[in-house]
Amino acid sequence: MPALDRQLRDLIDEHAGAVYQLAYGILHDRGLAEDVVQETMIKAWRNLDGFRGDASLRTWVLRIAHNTAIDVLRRRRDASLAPGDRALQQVAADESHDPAARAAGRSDLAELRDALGSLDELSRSIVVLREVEGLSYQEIAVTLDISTALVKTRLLRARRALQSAVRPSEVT
Amino acid sequence: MNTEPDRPCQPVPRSAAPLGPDTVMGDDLLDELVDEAALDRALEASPEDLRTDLRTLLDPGHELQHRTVAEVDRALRSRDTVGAALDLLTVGWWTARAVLTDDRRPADAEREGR
Repeated sequence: MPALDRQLRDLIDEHAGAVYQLAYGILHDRGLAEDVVQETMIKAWRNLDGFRGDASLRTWVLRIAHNTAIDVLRRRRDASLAPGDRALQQVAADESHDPAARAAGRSDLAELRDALGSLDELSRSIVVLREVEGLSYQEIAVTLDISTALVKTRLLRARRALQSAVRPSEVT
Repeated sequence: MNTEPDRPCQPVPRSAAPLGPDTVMGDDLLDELVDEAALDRALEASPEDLRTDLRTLLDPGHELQHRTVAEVDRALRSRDTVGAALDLLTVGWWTARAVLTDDRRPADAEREGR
């Protein structure tokens, strides 16, 4: 195991999982999500001196991760392969390679992934930060630099869209 | 002939921008006009099944930390190597320039007593 700086190692141990989930939620590409994790860790480590403690370290790291993922998404948009096409290809590829989906043998996860991919990128970020990372509305607002009211409206719409995709009968 | 009066370019309002699956919707302002108390009530219902499914879908796996440590270490070493190579190139270029050119400035000549 490489001998990384202690602070960098701590950042990876504590935040790599959350950064990956946010990046994968935005990008729908496991390889790109891991690239975002690495880039985010290096950026956060190099800028730790600039962390003022206004927000929690977790919120600060997730904000860097979100910005990094959005940069990657924009670069993908500039490339010949649009992210939507890539996401669809990824769904097909992941049918056989995604350990979680394969182990569970569940097609509803693929439907959920499709539904998540059909949301706008802001809503995807909000859903992941709230439902997966468990951030408060205020923390999400700080992370994404938006109002709490916008967080709530987008979250409600996104929840309904995702639930209707996976369990149509349960949505009222 | 263009009969339109000269006008400065106006930005397209966000609400008029085309929407797609990966665009931020143009109705942010409308979003925020919704009654927040009603929103809170609607959000109270906790979608545990959805959370569980999302966590399964986005699960990073057990090896993420190990892979990240290895890749970050490699990236930092690679950047260090590139930086050192650039430093060496710069020093080499300045050395070669000093040796190969006869660029003696007046200050040099003066210091040498000429």
